[in-house]
Amino acid sequence: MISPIQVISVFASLALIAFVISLIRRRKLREEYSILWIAGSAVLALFSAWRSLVDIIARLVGVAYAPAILLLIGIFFGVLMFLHITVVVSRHADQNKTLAQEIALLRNKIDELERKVR
Amino acid sequence: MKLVVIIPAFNESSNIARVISETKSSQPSAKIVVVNDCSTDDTEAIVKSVNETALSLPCNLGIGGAVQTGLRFAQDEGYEAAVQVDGDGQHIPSEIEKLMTPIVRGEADVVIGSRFLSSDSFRSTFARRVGIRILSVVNSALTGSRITDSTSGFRAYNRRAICFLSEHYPQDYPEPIAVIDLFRNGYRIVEVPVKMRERQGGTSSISAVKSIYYMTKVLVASLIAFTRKPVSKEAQK
Repeated sequence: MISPIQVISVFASLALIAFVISLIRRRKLREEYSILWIAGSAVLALFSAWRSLVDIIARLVGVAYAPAILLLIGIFFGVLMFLHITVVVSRHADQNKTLAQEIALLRNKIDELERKVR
Repeated sequence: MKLVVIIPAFNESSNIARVISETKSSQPSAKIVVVNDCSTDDTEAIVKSVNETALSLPCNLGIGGAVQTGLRFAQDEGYEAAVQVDGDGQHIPSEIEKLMTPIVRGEADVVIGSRFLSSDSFRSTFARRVGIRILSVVNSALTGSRITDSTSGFRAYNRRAICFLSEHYPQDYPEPIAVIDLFRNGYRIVEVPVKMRERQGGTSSISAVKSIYYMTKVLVASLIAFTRKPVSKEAQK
């Protein structure tokens, strides 16, 4: 039997996938950062469409309260996403640093050249 | 030996002129480069007014990024040796000679000026002294050589070390981490006793209260840095 909440969650997760894809198409989201999002929303869609999947997994790993599995997966995904973002931010900080240093060195070169020309 | 003196400075308008003039009188043939880490005061104008080179960063990078800028300059311009002197006046330029001796003799790639090898130097606060001691003990244990002042930023580098550090200078706790990175990559590190002064103006970047927190972070970072693989020889070139 299909309950309204199942319909809503299937639609919501499909909408999330569509939104991620449209962000990539409009170049608002770089492809390299989008894999986690697409994978995450696909998992979400899978769980919404296949309701008994949660119960199956819960029985497999021995969790008494099945919805706890959903929370666990959600939190795990959140942590993974955070970590991914900090890695990206660190890389950007490093690239920024190199650019700033390059600017300082080039500016000095320009100053020296201007002094020579005058 | 073609020498460049790198002076990182962040809002040091009250000290920088004196540091420059003292450096000039003790090392007249050396090139002086002040790395202005996006100061909000007139540090840059003061440096320009005495006709010395200022590398002005467009945004504040912190001490690690500033020193690395100077090292990149040293590498680009082909300097054979570089000395790092803090812009706050606590390092005494007449001591540069002592730092340079092992470099000139070819006995070391990196020379660290230590406050704790000589007895008649200044004493900082208790908390900081204990912190510096613990860091130094860990650093000595990790590198297997005696490092008494691993947070000292009064250092000399030869060409090899300049080339390595201009590519791989640590950003967050640069002084102690650089010691480990250098050691892991096979560079010879030597300490020499130097005198240092108390700060003449401004405030230290590390307050006494934050010392313990700082120390813990540096310890963790040091241990992680120690597990890092050495950079391959090809990558260093």
